[in-house]
Amino acid sequence: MVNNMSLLKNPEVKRILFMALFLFLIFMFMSIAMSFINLRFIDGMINRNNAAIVGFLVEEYPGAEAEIAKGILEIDNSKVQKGKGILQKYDLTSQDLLLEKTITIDIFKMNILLFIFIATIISTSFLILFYLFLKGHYRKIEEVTKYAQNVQNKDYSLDIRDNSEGDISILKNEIYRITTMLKEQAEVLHNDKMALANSIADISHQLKTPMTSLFVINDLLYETPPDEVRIEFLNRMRSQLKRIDWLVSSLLKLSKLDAGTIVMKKENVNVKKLIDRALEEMTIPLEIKMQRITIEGDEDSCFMGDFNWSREAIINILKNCIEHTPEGGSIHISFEENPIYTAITIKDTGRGIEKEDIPYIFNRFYRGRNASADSVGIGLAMSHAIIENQMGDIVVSSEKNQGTEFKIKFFKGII
Amino acid sequence: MEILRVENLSKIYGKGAIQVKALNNVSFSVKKGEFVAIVGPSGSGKSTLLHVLGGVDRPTSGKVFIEDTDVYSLNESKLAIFRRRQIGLIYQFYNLIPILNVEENVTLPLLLDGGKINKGKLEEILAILGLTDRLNHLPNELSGGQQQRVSIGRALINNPALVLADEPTGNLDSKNSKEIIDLLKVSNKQFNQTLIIITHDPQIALQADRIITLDDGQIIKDEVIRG
Repeated sequence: MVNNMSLLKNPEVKRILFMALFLFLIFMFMSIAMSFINLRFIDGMINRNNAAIVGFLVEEYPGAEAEIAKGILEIDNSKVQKGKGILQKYDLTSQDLLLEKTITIDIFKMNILLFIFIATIISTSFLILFYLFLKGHYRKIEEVTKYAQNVQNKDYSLDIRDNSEGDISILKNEIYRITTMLKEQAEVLHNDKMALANSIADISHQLKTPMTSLFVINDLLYETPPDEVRIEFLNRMRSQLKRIDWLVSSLLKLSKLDAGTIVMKKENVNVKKLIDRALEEMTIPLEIKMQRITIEGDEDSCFMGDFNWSREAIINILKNCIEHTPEGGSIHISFEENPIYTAITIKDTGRGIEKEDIPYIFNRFYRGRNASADSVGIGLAMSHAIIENQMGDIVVSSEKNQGTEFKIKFFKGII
Repeated sequence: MEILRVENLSKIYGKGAIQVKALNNVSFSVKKGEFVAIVGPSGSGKSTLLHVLGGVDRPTSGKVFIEDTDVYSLNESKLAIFRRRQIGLIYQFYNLIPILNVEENVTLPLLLDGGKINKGKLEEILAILGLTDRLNHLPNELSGGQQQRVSIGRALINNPALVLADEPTGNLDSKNSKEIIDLLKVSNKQFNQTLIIITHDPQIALQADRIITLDDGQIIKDEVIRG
């Protein structure tokens, strides 16, 4: 611990010391003033006492007025002793009742000294108290500073939380929370880097497959085959090009979603309309596989979101369902709206997803055990990204050979 | 990032012949933002585990680390403050303070800490929980579902490291149960809130990212169902 407790460098400390000094001066002046008041009081008391004695004596011995005044002014010690004796006889001796002006001045001096002493004691004790108090506080602050410096150097091992009462402890707790957040973000960043590297490998691999096939067809076409074979080759080329095209445009969409460059609209989306528009795109594959679609739900169900992107999400899920449901199977779509969310459920009667695959089916480039040959593992990932981007949630549950159910929820409470 | 680590946790009640091992050498860890369901038959040690995790009940042996703090190395007063700041608890019977209104019940952990109330955060939480128009109601003027929402708010207000819920829907009908679980999921997603919930309802457990099954005080299954 760096222990240069140079407290004075803190303006707050300077200010408080200056204020203490100011208070000390005020105390001094007050002490002097109090000494004066005290002196006046004592003086008054003596005068009153003298007056009482003089008044009485003059009444008894009217001629002795001047003598008595002289006796008070010029105190004769022998007479003082005598007077003391008499007073003692009447039990009136407490302290020296006879005082002279020099005595009151001594009292005054003594008073002033005492008062100043008290003022000094009070001021210094406050000063010491302040000092100790501030020192404790500033040590805590220095501790936090040191901690923050460590965190800047990516050393997250310290824990400054002291689990005590009070604002400083709360501050430490909050700072620790920020550190936790930083730590977490550093970890996320690292994972993202890894994911990116994996993604690029996956993308290259995905592009490589159709390209190899294109090269082969291309080579074959050099050999000028008969027309019908040529047409066949060209058709194959076309379908491979289509595949690359789809892959590239999907990846582009995904990357835009990831980068957050897409601003999802916040419009009122009618669920029924959304599903109808998504199904329009699916007419041909549905016809080919002779699958039946049933729709059920309140036609007024709505949610706040982006119509086109949501349609894209639904289409990808439908594609998945159609692909994994045998010919003549059926797909059931239902939806509901409640105060917390709007839910869309898409259920097929397909062969289901393996239990081991379920946690990962929304992962990019993940291909389950039942994936078809030309599946890339990007459709569901895209649906997932779109739905999450609209603060929604998608859950899948599946029963082997019974079918798969995708449940999408768009929550309302979240702004 | 690891937020909770449990090492060789055991909790034994009673002595000698009547000794009961409620928890028997349980170890696992939970990552930040994970939603974990703990399931198991009655008497399997679910609630004991939750209480030990929540810093409420000292284990007989073993350690609990929350954000790298060895919870039971703290003394009672420090543990109380730690609990107040780092753990949010939700109970089956809500445990709201009957004489405090909704807003006061939600902000109770902050008030106990003497901290300032962050109005923005409070409003955000109340809006998510749909309690904005009930701020001044007392608990007995609310339905069971609403009371549980208040207790969720109380658990979340302090940004705890960990939210623990003990059968949060055990006292609610199925519609309200669904709502409560959805709200917990929202908080899990929205605030990346780590959430551990005890339940015996498989439907609820399936909503989690991971299910830990306890029996006889031991973990017999620990499976991730969502990546």
